[in-house]
Amino acid sequence: MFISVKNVSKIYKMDRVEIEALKNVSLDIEPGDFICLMGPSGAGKSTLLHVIGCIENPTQGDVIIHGKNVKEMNDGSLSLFRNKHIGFIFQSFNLLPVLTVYENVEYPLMIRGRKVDKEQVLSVIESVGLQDYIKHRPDELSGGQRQRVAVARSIVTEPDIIIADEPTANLDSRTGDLIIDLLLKLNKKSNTAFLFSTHNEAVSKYAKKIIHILDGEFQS
Amino acid sequence: MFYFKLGLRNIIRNFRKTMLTMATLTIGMAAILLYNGSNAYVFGQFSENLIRSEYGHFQIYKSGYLANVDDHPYDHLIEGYREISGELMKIPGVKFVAPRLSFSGLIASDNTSTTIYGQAGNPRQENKFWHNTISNGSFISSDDPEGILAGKGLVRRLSGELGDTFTIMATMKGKGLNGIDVKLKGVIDLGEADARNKMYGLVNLDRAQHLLGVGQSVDRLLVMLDNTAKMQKVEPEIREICSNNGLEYRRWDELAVVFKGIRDMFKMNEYILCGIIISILTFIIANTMSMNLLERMREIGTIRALGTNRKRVMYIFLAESSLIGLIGSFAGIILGLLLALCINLTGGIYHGPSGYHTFIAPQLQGILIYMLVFILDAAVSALMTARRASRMYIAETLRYI
Repeated sequence: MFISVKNVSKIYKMDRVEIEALKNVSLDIEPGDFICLMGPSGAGKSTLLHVIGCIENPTQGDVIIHGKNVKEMNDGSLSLFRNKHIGFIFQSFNLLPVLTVYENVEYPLMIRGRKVDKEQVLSVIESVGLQDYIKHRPDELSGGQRQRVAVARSIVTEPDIIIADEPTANLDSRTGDLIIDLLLKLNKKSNTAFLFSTHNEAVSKYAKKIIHILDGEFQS
Repeated sequence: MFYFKLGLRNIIRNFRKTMLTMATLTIGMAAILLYNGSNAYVFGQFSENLIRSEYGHFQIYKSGYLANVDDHPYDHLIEGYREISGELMKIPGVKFVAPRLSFSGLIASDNTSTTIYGQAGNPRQENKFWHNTISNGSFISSDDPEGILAGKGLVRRLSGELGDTFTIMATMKGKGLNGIDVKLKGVIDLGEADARNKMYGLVNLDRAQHLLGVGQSVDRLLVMLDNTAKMQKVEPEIREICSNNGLEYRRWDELAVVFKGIRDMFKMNEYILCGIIISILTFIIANTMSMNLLERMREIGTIRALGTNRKRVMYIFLAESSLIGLIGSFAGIILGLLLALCINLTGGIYHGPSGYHTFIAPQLQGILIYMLVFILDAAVSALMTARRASRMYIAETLRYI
């Protein structure tokens, strides 16, 4: 096992009110897993993804990735760790609007400060079928194409896990199916683990493992 | 480089929003360029005037002369000045070297007497300094060794006219009075405000040397260059000649104390103007970048999630604001140069009844320094926003709508 979430709780403080978004959850993720996190809005899906994605610290509990406890890392090493080991796909694509398709996909490699292998970037873009759009900006692409750019950006660093927060929510069902299909193919090809959230039952049918979450707790 | 590319594209994308900031920068830069250029023109003219009418580019004295001139004016004179002049003339850029001897004493006409501040020199060379100031008569010449050129006020005090003879009395080097007769050849007008107008007299060098009993000595050598821009290049060679011959030198701008004071005052005004513009810019740029941050919260969250560290997030904002500074100030230079061209082509800025016209002489070095200051200010103005952006919680920025 390379990711272990142990007894994680997350409490948000809003003025004088405390909201417990995660309640003592534990989860192990193996290489090649394709896990779907299901639950209604406000169930704690995004919070769990953020905690596993090392962009949010748990209030209690530990997240251990490759034997390293995320809590013990400082911001600099955590940034590097995210860049090397974790890929992100967001519901609203979150592409950098001023960069082209090529530059958006190149970005995670570029920030490593080393010379970027252009062939590697182009081959990833080709793998998501956007080789004819490398010079296009996000606002010149459809929703499905944008999400494919986001997928390419998430896999270009060859991470151990890709975290996708409702990747099909802003897409029509056909395009959503195509994106999930693409993620499945990549999962099979690279042995990268995928953890994605959705509240769409139709999407969850593709998952090898489904975790239901409600009010911050896993449902058996 | 990537951050500048990103910054430039963001500026283009948000052009309408950043236009106001850049326009402020542009107008500020153009204003400073015009003010700086106008001062450069005025003080350029003023300084050339002083160099060519009074100081020369350098003045050379015997070591210790300046420190003792008030108590023992003739104890530190330059002997054998012709050899030193010959050495100085060999320096490329030196146009001529004028020997001078100063003295003070009494000058008397048939009716009255008054003090005189006298100078003696070679008429041919002195003509180059004073020819513009002659209001009556002609310049003194070597052929007429008794000739004197006197200030308008001094002539009035003596109730003299051209051709009148006066007697000058002064203390000799060996203590004791001596006198010479001089004949009024010409009158110079240095303006009523100039105290020298009432005291100044210029005579032949050998007459003054005889009066003071100083042999062939002079108290200073004025070095005139063919171009003021060569001063820096020539100065080391002058320094070397001085040190080899027991001499010391002063640059003209060290001697022209009043000029320096006025120039410094105008420079201070320029810095104050620049300070005001920079203060305004600081607030405007800080506000623009702060608004920018609000609109790009998700973008910041995304790049942080992808592994961009805090330092690099700061770079993105600093690069963008520096680019705003660069583009705005560059546009300001273009605008300033165009305005300067228009002003110069239409006869300059007219200063009322004096008939004096000011032109704009843009200074490349000054402009580049101000441009650098503007770019730095733009970067510094964005520093707080950049720091804030780099320290935001990633998850919160991703949730931001």
